[in-house]
Amino acid sequence: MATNSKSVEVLLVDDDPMFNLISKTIVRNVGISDRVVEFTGGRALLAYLDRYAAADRHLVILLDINMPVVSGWDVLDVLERHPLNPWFIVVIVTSSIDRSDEQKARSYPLVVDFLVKPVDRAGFEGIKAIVERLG
Amino acid sequence: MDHEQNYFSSIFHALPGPCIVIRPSEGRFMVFAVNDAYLDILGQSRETIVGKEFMSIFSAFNGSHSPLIPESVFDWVCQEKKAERVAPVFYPAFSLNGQKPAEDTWLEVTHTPVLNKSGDVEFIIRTLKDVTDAMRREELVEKRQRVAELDRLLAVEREVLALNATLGIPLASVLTAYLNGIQELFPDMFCSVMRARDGFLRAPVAPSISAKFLPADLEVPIAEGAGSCGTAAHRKRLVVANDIATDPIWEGPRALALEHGLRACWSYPIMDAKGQVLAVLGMYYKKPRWPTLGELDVIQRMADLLHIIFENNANAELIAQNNETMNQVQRLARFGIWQWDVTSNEVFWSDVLYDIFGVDPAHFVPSLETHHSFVVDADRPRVMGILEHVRTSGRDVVFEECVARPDGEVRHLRTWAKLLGDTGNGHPKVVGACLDITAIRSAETELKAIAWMQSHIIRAPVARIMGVVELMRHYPAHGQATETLLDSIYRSADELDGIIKEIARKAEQGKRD
Repeated sequence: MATNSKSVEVLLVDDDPMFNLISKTIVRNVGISDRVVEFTGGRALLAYLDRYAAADRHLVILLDINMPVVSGWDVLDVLERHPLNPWFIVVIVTSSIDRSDEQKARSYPLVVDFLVKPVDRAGFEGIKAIVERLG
Repeated sequence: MDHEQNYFSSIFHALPGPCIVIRPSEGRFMVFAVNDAYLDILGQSRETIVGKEFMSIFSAFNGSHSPLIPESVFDWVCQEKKAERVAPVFYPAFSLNGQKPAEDTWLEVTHTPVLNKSGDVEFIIRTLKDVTDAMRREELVEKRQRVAELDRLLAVEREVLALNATLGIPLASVLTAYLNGIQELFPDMFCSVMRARDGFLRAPVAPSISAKFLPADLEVPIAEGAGSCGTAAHRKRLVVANDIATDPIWEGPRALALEHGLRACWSYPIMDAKGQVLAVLGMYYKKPRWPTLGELDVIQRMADLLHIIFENNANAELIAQNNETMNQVQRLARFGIWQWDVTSNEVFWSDVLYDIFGVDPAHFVPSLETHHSFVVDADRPRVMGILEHVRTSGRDVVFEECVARPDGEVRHLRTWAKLLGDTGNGHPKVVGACLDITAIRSAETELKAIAWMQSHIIRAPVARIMGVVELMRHYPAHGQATETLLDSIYRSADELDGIIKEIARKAEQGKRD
């Protein structure tokens, strides 16, 4: 099981670098993956994904919603149609406590969880469990 | 003594002239005795008449003999204690209780009072004299006159009914036109109509009677002795004062009436379906007189027509009040009503609906197509589908639609639609109402904006502070300098402080606005 966790790549997408730092620290500490890449906007993430010709591992994307220029919703719309779609696992990480945001997020098949900031270890243990079930 | 009574009774019954004896009793007139000749005319048995109230027997009478006149004559005889002869009355062939029909007969009726020791009227003897032969000779002439009179009366009635059906014509104008028309037919007659309200007769309409006698602010109490009209409204039946100079019901206003040369007044109450007096028709004459049979017919016709006019007017007033209430409710609640005639494709809008759609009713002609053009593009196919579904399925529906007014303002409507009739009956209509819920939607939008701000703007620095503290407490090997984390906490707190100050500023501005 540990092998699965280590074989995924985690992509952190938040316009606030401090949240990315917090998430990266917990991801590593919990043991989800050592491969963590940070992005401070949706556009940077999409550019990174476009460089992938093909995936050889699952990409766990921790995605903030409220970001300037390209929002989390914009990113989700692109990911839904992206050629690497089967390799994506999206967890929304947001400060929003609006129920309509959660309902909308969970309407995307890619979204496996919805975490409200500040994130803690328990929330990331859930992500780890999902990753370990990937096989 | 008994023998003597039987003897006189036999004589009474055998008298050749028809004779009936009436006994006044507390305002009612009871049949005390009736002779054989009277029974022959009626085709009735003695047992079915004696002991009954005179009017109850004759109320079922099927002929031109008005049941109103005997009662008035009885009243007069009781008051004056003098005999009174009524103009010949025509009794057409009639049948009561399936008896053999009699022949058409003209009868001259005489009422003779019999006084008791106190000088009061104990009995009224009503005797009938067959004047058929004489009357038939005059009948032909009278018939011709009557047909001509009836034609003129019908013409007046038609004109008045047409006037009454015209929107915006005041009731007083309709009544004035009617009374003028009647007075042209009967030049000796001076008519008045007064409305009954709150125990008084008011607002006299009397185009040919001096305003000094019937002023506009006159209030005649509905009571016994308040002249013919007040008394008629009180008794709820025709009251004939054949001589104002002597009739006790004119004791109060007698001097004023005589001063204006008025000597007779017949008054007839106009009543609604519940028996409440709506108004009183008064007919004044400058000479003492009883009404003829023809005049009684005219009175009855006038009363019938006035009844229609007053009922129509009351209904029109009720409809107008209901419409005004509905309009007021529409204005207050911001909802407009509409109707779509499916067959003609004509559309009706209420005033408020024009206002909701921001168009001028003086220039804008509503139609289904123009309504659809107002609906915003995103809503239009759905709204058109809903209305078509109502038309074809006949099912009520409530839906929301978003419309853009000509000035560009967008309004949110909650619309109800229902099919009246069906497509099979040849004239289906879809009716509905639109409630303007723009204000509600705006409030919801503002609430959503507040919720969004709370979630995304206010919570972000709070979550950051909590996250940094979590990092420092549980993950000391995070790789960041403590100074950097403390700086992040301070910046977050400062950001939050700025947000709170901005909220306070907006709240203060909201209060001022």
